[in-house]
Amino acid sequence: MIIPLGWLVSFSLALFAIGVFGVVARRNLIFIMISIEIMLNAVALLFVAGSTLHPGSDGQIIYLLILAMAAAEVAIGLALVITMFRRWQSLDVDLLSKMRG
Amino acid sequence: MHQTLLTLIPIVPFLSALILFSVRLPKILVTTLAVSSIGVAALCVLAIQLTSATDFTPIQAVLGQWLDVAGVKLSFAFYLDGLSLMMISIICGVGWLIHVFSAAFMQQDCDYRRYFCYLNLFVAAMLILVLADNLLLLYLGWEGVGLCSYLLIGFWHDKRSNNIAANKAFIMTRIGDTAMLLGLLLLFWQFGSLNISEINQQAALQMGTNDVMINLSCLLLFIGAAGKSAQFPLQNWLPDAMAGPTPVSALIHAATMVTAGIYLIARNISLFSAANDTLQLIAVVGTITLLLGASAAMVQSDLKRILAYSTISQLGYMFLALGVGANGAASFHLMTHAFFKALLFLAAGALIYCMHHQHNIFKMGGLARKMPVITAAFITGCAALSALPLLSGFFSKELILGQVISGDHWWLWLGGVLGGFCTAFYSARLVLVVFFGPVQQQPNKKVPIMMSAVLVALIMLSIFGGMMPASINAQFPAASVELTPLQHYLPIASPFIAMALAFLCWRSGLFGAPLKSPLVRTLHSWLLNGWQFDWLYQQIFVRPYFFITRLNRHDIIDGFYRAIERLMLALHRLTSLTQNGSLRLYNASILLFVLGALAWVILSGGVV
Repeated sequence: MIIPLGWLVSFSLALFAIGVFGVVARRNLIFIMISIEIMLNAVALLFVAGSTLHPGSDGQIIYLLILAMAAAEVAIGLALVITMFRRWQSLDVDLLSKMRG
Repeated sequence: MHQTLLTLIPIVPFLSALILFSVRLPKILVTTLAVSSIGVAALCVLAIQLTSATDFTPIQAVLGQWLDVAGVKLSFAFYLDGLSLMMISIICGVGWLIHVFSAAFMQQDCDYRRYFCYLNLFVAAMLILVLADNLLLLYLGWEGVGLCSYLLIGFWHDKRSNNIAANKAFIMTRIGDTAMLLGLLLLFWQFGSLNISEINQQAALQMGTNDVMINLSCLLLFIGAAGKSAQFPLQNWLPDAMAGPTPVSALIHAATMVTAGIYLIARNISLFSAANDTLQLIAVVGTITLLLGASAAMVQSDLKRILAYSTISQLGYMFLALGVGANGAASFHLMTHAFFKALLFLAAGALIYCMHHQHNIFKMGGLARKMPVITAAFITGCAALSALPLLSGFFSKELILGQVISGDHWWLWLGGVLGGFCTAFYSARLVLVVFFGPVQQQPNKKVPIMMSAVLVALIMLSIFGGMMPASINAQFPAASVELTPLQHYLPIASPFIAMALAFLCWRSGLFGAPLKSPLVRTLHSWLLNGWQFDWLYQQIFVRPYFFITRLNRHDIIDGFYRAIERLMLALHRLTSLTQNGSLRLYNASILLFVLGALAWVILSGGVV
């Protein structure tokens, strides 16, 4: 059976909203990164779903691109997480407010 | 030949001043250079005097182009006619005598070179003023003499009061100078030229029209002249200018610089003849000034201040003469006044030099036996000043009063006669108090030979200088005057009455006695301070000025810029609130912005 497109879009939007909420509301850096991953995956899902509507494989190619970018982002992000933990022994982003104007 | 001599006259003193300014010479060379440079100029003047005819034909010498901009053509050109010939004779002749006197007077001063540098520069500037053929060059000399006057009043600059006096003189004359510059510009606007002869030729066509613009420009020129010549209401810098060395007072503040105003008006007489209202004003101002000066001189106790007020009063006579159109009489009085006032000032200088630098006349007395030359000098000078018959001052003052009465100016004439009365009174008082009566203080020095020689020369000039120079007579022919016996004899008799009165007062010990009645005391202090003009100006100008400056202490204009600064600072604080370092807030704001942008795109119809 084919899942209707509307469901897919709704699901993707819901995922994205969850991600956004996580980014804004969470204080732990790791959870923020996970939330960003969720948002990326929501977008990727939307691309895949969209590719079924159109002939060709553009959507799936874009999905691969997002996957690679997400991997790179995670690599950098985890490095930052480690650096931060070494420095503050904590992952609370509210600690990182020393540079206020 | 004459042209070369004419150019040499101002240039030699100027070069000498430059050399004195830049090269450190030994004292003897300084004296030689300074005195001989004026001597050379005086010899040039003498050569011109001797080789020219009695009715002097004007000579002109052009040194070069100065300005050639937009139709204004001005050159460094000198112009010599009868009037300026008389002036340069006074400047170089009396100036040379005063230089010789100064060499003795300033012998012990450590700033000898600086003194002579200024003095030479002054003579050069004064000669440029007198010889200038256009008004701008005249203005250059005018400012030059003002500068030298300032420098020399404040010559002993380690005393604060001297500096204040110099500032006062400079600022008061500056008020006049500013008016004069405006007058020059106005004249240029009307006549399209600044050449003195051209302006006067054009103005002569409008003789007697009493044109408003000409009146205005003449008025402005007169304010300049009044500032320089210490006329009411700009007169009160001159008594304070006595802070300078005494020979300077003789040269600058009696014989030459203060007469520049009279020269300016006499020079542009055709212009002023087209401005009757201004001429009348000049006559009235002259009368007020001569009364002010003479009355103030009657109560002074400082020797030099007496002479200073006397100078103001005599300058008032000259302006009175100019105002009634008696140009020749004014120039003539200028000359005789230069002789006897230089004599009086130099004698005062010698007296002060020998008397422990004492200025107060009541601390002197009975000096007639001890200092015969100075006594003779004072008596001659005072007699000439009071216009006793057959002395130089008599002829010129008679001429002025005769011209005033022939123009039917009764009130001005009475003022002049009253002024003459006061003049004789204070002159007699001065001589009696200083040279007769009991001895108060012994002189500590003898009068140097050089000083005596100069004094004798000036005594001769004061006695025999009462001959109207032919060149002046040719240039400004005086109308012959028919006088009634009263008009003729009252001015002659009044000095004698005044002197008798002064003698009586002196015999009964009134001079210098403490004042009992409060009314007399008030009057005395009012006269002593020269009609309280310093106080008046303090009230009218200085205090309101300070009041306004206090109000505006935080500069209103600055307030505007400070408001901008405050606004910027407030905006900065507002925006820096968002820079709080909270990552979550940043994220939220990004989100909000994206949402807003999306909403805007969708609502406005989408992106094409």
